[in-house]
Amino acid sequence: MLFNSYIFIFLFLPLTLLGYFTLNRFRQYRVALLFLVSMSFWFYGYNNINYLFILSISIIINYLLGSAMLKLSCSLFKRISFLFAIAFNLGILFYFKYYDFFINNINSVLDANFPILRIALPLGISFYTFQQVSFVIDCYKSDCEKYSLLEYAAYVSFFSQLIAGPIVYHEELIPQFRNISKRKICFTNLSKGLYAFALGLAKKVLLADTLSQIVVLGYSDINSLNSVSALIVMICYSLQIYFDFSGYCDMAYGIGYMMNIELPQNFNSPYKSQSVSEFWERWHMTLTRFFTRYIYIPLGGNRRGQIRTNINIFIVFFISGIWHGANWTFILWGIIHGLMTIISKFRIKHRLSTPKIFKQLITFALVTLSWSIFRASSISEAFLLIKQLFTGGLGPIHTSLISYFEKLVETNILYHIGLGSIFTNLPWLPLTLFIVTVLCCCFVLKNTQEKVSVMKFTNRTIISIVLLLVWSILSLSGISEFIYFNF
Amino acid sequence: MNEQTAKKWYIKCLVTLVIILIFPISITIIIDPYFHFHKPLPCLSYRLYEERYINSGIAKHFKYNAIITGSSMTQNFKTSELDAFFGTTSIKLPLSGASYKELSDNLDYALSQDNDIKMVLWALDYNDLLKEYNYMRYDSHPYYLYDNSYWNDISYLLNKDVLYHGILPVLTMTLTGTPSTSMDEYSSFKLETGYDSIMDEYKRKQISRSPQNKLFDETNRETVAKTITYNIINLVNRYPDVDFYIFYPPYSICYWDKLQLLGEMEMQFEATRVATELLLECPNIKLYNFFECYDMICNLNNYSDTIHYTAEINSQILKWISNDDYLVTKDNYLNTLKNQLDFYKKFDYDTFFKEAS
Repeated sequence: MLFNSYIFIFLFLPLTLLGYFTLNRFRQYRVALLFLVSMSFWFYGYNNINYLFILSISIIINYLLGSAMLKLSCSLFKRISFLFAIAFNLGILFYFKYYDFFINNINSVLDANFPILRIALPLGISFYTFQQVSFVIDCYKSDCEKYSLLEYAAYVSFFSQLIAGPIVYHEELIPQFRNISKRKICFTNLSKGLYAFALGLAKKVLLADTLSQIVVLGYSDINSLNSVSALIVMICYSLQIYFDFSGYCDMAYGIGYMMNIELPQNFNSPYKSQSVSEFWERWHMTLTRFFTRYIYIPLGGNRRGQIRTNINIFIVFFISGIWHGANWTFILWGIIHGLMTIISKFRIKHRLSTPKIFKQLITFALVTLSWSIFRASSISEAFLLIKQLFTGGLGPIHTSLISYFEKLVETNILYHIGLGSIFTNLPWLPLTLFIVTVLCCCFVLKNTQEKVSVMKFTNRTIISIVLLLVWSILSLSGISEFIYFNF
Repeated sequence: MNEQTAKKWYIKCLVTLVIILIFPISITIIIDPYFHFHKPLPCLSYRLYEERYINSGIAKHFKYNAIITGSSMTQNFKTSELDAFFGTTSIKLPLSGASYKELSDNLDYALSQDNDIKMVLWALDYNDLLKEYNYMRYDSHPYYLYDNSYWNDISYLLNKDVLYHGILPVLTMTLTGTPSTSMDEYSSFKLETGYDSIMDEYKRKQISRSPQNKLFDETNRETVAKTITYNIINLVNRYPDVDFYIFYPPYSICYWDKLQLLGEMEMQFEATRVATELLLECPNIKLYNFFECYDMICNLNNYSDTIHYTAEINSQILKWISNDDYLVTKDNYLNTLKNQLDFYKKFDYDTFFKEAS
């Protein structure tokens, strides 16, 4: 189930809030937690019930191994349990996510024909596997309290963060479940949660999904893009991935708030960053802190000299690239970010001064260029788009991008309220205005957490929330125009 | 923040949201631009548009005993002409660009409604014969309009596109006194025809000529057999009381030229032969083949691109079918296909296009 679906908004979320708070109202705290786990399982298994089996097995095995490590006094057994737990988690991830990629590469290198599995990747497997890896590592280091299976299952499966993060630590979430004062309905938090949810839904449905169509059109016909169109496609993807991911995290954050659960911030206006290393302090922050805590610091962090620090940074980004997906494009993207982060740290260290806005624009340009590799289906496709950017020549924006935008209901309404003649004479204007406006929002506006923290309970806020929710809900299901005419 | 104030604010916010959402839901149920809940209201003018969204409503709530279906090859048919020839009350359920599977599902849905259907006129696009039987050209089909569940109707009731493209035109047409779209007009199109229009799309010089003819093998035969059996024969057999008039639409000479250049002419004829043999086994199918309407096919003024013909050709097709002209039988199909293959193989395409330009 997705947050941006009718069933979630009109059935699942109200039912979950009602059931959870009602059971807690009658002091049925364990039953309320059980109810939350059941609802989370429904949420996860809604599209494919088989995924529940994988999630359940993963939860049970990790819980048993983690609990055993906390109890075991013999360090050998503890180490064996730890290694088994790590192997189990990485094994699951390898099997579902990387096996086909690995075999494909073996086949092409050895000219062999080993069969591939073509297994669909279970939703959110990378997120909940990493959360559980953090749990077993902490159990091994005895840096973890003893939890019940129910508490642990509620932590891993909590629907608000299950599919797309943020990557939450057990010590952040389980104590909040245990805190009885957080089990009472709180209208202040419900309101703030609703506000965050509305902002997140609008970012996802109104911005990211619109941008996504432009990106799809662009990537489907790269050869015919000139430099201007290639630039637009790249910027649109940069904006799409930000609004898509951060929108989803805002909704997760809002849902958590509604249930009096505070989830860690995952995005802090990343495109306001003045360097690539700052970008990673603002983008997918819970992944960065995970890698810092469990890879960068154990490797020695910055305590072993400059060269070793740079190697450690590079290793982290290399692994981050692999984590993001099973394709050479992700690995290359990780390598590029590793190198850019090392260089940007060098620049900061040597205080190379440049005006703030230039630094922001340069960072955005570098990140956007690397996103184009991330989005491509192959490295050759990525290079083709980059080639078109530099050699495609100047000219009008590709007609397919403009005509998609012209067909949007919102653009049509603008036509009807008197802007028709302007748009007819300048067909590129609506799309360009949209991109520039959205881009400015990224550089100028406050992010969701900042907005929620200063939220005012006024009629104006009601109008904003209702407007965003109604517009987003009405946009969840459009009419797909079947543009193919020649059959 | 005072919790009591927050409570009042929260309730006010939710109540406002619910009241505003009730508005599009109510107006969609009442006007129902795609006839999902009820037949057209007599006091309103409806625009018949967006085939994939409105066909289910037409099939459910209109009164009819004959159906015209197919891809864009059928969009310009006039139901009034069919009714005049066959004494039927017909509707049109075209699906532009549809695959065999999409057309079969669409027709199955209509046939399963509570109507006493006597006749189906179905255009069979032979350029899709070698695609997989379950090939779907569009993956965002509005299934919520085709099933019997009320749960997913929310996709219809809270949909800005339905409000804008469905309800707004109904209100505008009603207020301006414009009559509803007739079934003759529904989905029809009129495009520029002739050499220049066709050549805008048909880049003949860019086609790399195949030095040899591609062979029709056993896998191809199985593909065609599956496509025809699963999507047509099985459906036709489930409705033995319905007469199915199926025809191969006459694409322009450019289509055959392209096959010749690509070395796929014989494959196309072999695929058509396999399909024909299977279709002729069904007693309630009448099959028509217009490949040999050479004068019409070689006249580029009849076409707007390589395959799409004008509305006049649709009228002509109805006339021919009503007279059983070009009817394919078990006795004549082999000879007919052989003669047609000879014609298209020996045709001097280069000279034709030189003269036409």
